[in-house]
Amino acid sequence: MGVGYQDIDRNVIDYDIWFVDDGRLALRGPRTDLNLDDVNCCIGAAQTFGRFVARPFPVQISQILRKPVLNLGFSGAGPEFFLNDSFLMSRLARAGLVVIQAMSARSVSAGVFRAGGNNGVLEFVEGPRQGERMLAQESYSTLRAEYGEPAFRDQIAAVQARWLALHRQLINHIAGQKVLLWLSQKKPGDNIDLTTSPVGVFPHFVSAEMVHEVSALCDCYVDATFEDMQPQVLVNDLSGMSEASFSAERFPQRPDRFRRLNTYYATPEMHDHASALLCEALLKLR
Amino acid sequence: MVSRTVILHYHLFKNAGTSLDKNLKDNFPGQWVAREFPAGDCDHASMIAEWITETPDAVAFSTHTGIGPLPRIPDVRIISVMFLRDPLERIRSAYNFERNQDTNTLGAVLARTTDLAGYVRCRLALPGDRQCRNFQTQRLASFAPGQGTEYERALKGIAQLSFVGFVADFDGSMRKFSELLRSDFPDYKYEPVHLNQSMRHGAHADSEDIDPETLAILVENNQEDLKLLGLPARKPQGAILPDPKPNRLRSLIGLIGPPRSGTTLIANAMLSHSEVTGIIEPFQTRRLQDYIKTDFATMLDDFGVDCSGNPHLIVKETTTRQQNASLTMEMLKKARDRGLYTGLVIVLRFPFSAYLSQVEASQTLWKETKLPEVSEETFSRFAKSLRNGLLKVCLAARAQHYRMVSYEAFCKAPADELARLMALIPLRLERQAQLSFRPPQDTRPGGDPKTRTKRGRITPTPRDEEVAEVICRFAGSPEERFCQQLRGIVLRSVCREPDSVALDLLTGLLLQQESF
Repeated sequence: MGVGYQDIDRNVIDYDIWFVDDGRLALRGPRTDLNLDDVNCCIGAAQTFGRFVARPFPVQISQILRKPVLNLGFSGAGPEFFLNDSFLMSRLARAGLVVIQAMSARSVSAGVFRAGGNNGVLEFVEGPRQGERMLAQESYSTLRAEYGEPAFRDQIAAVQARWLALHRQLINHIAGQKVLLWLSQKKPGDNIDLTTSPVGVFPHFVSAEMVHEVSALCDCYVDATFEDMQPQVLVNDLSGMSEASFSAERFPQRPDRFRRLNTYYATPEMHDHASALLCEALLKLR
Repeated sequence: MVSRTVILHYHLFKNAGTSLDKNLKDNFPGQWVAREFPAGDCDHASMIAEWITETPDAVAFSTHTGIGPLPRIPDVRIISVMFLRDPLERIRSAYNFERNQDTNTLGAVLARTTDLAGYVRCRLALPGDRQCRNFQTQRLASFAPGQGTEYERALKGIAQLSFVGFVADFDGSMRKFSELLRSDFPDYKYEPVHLNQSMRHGAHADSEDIDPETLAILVENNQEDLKLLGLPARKPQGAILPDPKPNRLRSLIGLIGPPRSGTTLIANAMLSHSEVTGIIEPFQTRRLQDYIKTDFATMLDDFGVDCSGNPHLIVKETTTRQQNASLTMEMLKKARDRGLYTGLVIVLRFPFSAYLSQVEASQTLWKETKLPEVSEETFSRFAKSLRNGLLKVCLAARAQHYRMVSYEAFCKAPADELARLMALIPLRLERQAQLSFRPPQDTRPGGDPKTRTKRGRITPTPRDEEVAEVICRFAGSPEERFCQQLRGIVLRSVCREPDSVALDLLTGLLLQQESF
């Protein structure tokens, strides 16, 4: 997925994608020497990857704390993505410290959905839509409209329970220190407002209770809520000109006024905010 | 004498034909007609000719199922039009369309009951079903029956059509089509319309939502369709093609390093990607002609490189002459200033190994005997050339997105390193083609002849003992100290630390070495 972002965003940013495991797994750069002992890891989704951000929080904490950090952020990833990848799990098992971004619960397999890879696609495994695959938001919309509100609510409860179980499993595999990071425009719990969107705000369906439960399994919890996220103007990193990354050719549905704006992914300001809070917390952990 | 002019639209499924038809209907109200024809061994040309003759009031004729050859009707000018589309996009669009169709055709049932991967596999397995296999090539070939492969006939077919447009540049194509029509229909207008578009979903509207295995199957089964999208440069006179976006150059990557550092090996591996083409050592191979052109479009012409179907260009050069480095960097800068995406790959190698390799090449491979033997004089010349050439590159590198790679690291982990270099473009590694490539024998002159003798094997030449001898022989000299420091950077930083760190270290070292 990193190569996909690089393709779309290459005039704005160079993600310096590098590969491990014989060219199989693409990681966000800058590369880290895997031969070093005690490399810290940050796991998460596109926010940890740092889409549109030159210095995402994993780089910042690496530079500020002067310790190598492996950025294991993957677009659309949920806990299953990591648990199903033996290479990643072996790295996490050896890490001295792992920052775990609270990932979306919509990306887990439970109830009527099976998650497909790390690309945010869900497949209906039962009911009239059985076998159909859709993007997560569309899946939940369809479920709500066609299976009914009770089925929709049951589904949310199922993925929440599964999310918790997977996080317990993930955390059990990590021998080093564990930090749970909440990176969102909403406080835990406030993100689950399903009146205007069937999935709410990222991290979708993750409630305050779930965060509380998982944070109790970690050495530290960092709440990097950033409620005042402003749209980020996308700028060509070499020319300094604004750049329409979301071209009409590739994104015909996107309104023209948003072609040069990032309105979804954590902005540089959010990363700076998260980085400052993480550094403070990590220094206390030492 | 022409008494009537008609437009005949060969409407390929999911190739923006509905939008074109809408435009035709708007321009010729009540004079647009459509008809479908039976499949099988029928004489569609006669049937279409009959249809046109029997419908004297119509101006625009549209058919999904009509195939070639073109009909011929005395005194009637037929302006034939067809739109082509990236076959992968077309197939995905067809799948999305069919899965939402409320019919029980084979395609619709299949699309509703399986995912894209299943749909593709099933259709490919069905005897005679061309929906997912070079569909456009087959249709075009029907315009040129007779001898030749389907692809060759498709090329002839394109030449026979009055106009071929491209869905990826629909508006541009339509504007050109309108110009073509104006001599016969002066009032013909085009207002942008896009009907019947299958829904696309933001970030997942690109090939990312096709799983890699299905993508590979689709690419394999649509090679000829993909090649067809590269036709404009070869379009015979008499027909009009727009400049389609799929065929324009999308990236220009400079790949440069000192001679005998593995630049040819790495360039050949990168060039073995199906979407990449290249120019090998343009400034070095034409140095006797004093070749100094740095406009990439001119260079493409000068070196006879056809980018159609290969939208990413790699220009490989060495720092044999400082001017090679300057010209390469100038070429990249000019291209970037013109809005083309550019990038730079800097290739390094342990300098003592590179030196010994140059001596060996001077004795056995190169026409010019630059470094005939291991001596203080040749080692000094080597070090100066190394330093001066690399400095030119390093000082200009930060104006590009760049990658640094060492020959040693590349040979040790070719998949990881090659995938990383391809991601600069960015393209995904085509493992089979790129990691066991056959070096080009004739098509790309220039480059290191030794790569050919290795037949594409990615293996380093062992030189440990010779290197130790060279180090002992020149120990203590400024050149030896420089090479030791450079070796340290190549060993400890390149392909281990971030490229920005390695480049800073390298630049710092080169700037400190003005004394020799």
